[in-house]
Amino acid sequence: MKQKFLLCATLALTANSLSPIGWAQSPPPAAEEARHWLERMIHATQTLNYEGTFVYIQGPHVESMRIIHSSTASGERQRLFSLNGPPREVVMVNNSIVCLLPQQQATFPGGDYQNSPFPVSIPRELGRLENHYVFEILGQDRIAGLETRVIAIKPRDAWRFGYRLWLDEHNGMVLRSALLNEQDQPVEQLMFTDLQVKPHIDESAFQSSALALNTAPASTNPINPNMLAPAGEPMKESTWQVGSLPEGFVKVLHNRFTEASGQHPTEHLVFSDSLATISVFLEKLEDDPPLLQGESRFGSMNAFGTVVAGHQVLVVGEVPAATVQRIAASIQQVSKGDKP
Amino acid sequence: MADKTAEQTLAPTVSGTTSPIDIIASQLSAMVDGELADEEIALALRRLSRDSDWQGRWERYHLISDAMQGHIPAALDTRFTTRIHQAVANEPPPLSIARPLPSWYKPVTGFALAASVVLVALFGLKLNQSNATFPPVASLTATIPAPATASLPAEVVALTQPAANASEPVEARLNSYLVNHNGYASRNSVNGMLPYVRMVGYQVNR
Repeated sequence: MKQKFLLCATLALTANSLSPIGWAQSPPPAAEEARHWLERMIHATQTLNYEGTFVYIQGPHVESMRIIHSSTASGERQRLFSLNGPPREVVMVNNSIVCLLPQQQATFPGGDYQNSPFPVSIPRELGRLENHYVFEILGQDRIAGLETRVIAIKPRDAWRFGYRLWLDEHNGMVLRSALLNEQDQPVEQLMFTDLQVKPHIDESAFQSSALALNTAPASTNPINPNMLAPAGEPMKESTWQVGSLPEGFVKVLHNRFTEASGQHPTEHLVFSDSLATISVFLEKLEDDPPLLQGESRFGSMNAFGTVVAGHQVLVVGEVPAATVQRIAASIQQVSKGDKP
Repeated sequence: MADKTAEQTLAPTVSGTTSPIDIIASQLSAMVDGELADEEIALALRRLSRDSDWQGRWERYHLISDAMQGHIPAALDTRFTTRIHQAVANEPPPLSIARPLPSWYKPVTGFALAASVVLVALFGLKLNQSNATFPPVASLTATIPAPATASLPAEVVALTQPAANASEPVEARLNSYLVNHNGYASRNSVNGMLPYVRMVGYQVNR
């Protein structure tokens, strides 16, 4: 493992010295230093108490949102809501997510989730990440009036997108991020216009006024069961096989969920390389027409749908179109006896 | 009945010896020149719409007006109006323009805009239905070559999809897929904030 890491670091350094960096005349960018910055970023986004406003750009669409985050002894809490257009809001309390979206109010219970909650194991995740991405320091910039360090996360192959991150020099908080496609063009950007790091966030800041919903932790405020998202149950066995995954993507979840109506049982598989996430949904089509066949796109998310053995297969993720297509094409149903 | 009223009310404004035809003529002439009073236009139009004599005069007055202003084209089609009328008469009746909203469309105050936007987004989803087969992928198996710089799927929204294709279950299911994806994505990514932003963001990004 250590050897592998060294090899990666060497590769990264070689790549850096070959590619011209036009950003700044700084000393040769070191992957090690970039990695250190990313560790700071993960730590900062999880442990700081902050309130801020940012703009979010997806292709031609621009909007502004506000985020409030606190981390205390009792856990992590985050409230994110739109400032323009119809009110939309996502509240995260420890491991549960409450979404208040148009046409949809859903809660994701955290209990059934197999992975440990935050904080993720930073060194382990970053180590895995470096097998598939190169880290670089590009220079310095100023965002929301704050000095930042610009870090690039470049994919080593064409199966994933790259990121550019602007991290607060002072505390490592991500103040701007850009998701870059195969042509290095931004497909999604986020930039704070204002960010305040505070020792303490007032409780009232987490009250969802626009939607009149009490967002206190679920223990003190039982959530209306009608709002519960389809409860997922972990699956040990499946008749489905994903034949081809880009290197580095590992399965982090395999659930089955059913709508409240009891209809449309769906298998949900999640694959991650620690940065990009790909979901595979498998839903039996009774007499319904397929939901999606062929490729489509939701902002930065690419999707590919196909029908296999009377099931709708839908692959979606913030990865290139070729990646979701490749995975969708490799999915097959195997009879139970075939599986070890 | 209304016509009579119009003519009677008009009469005092014109000299007592003026025949009804003259009144019509002066009214029409004023309308062609854009000088008829607003309150008289409605009555004149009503009369014009069903009186072929008026219609004939209307055309001739316009022709005179055009001639006086030097707007006469080289060739004149005197049966133009008749042919338009015939063409319109032969058209199938137009579909009701204000189609009733589907029964499942129940916008809540504040969400009305979003509801329609989500609907559009999901129509967009069904756009590229034709490529159900994917031959290029066959070559992308074990050796894992870099994918060809695939032409990005156009970020498009086709409003041409017949509304009949959209049904609430389809939308709700696709929407729940995307919310589910981001819900779980946030827990696996180094950059844990972005999936939430995407969850909020894609709801209105079409």
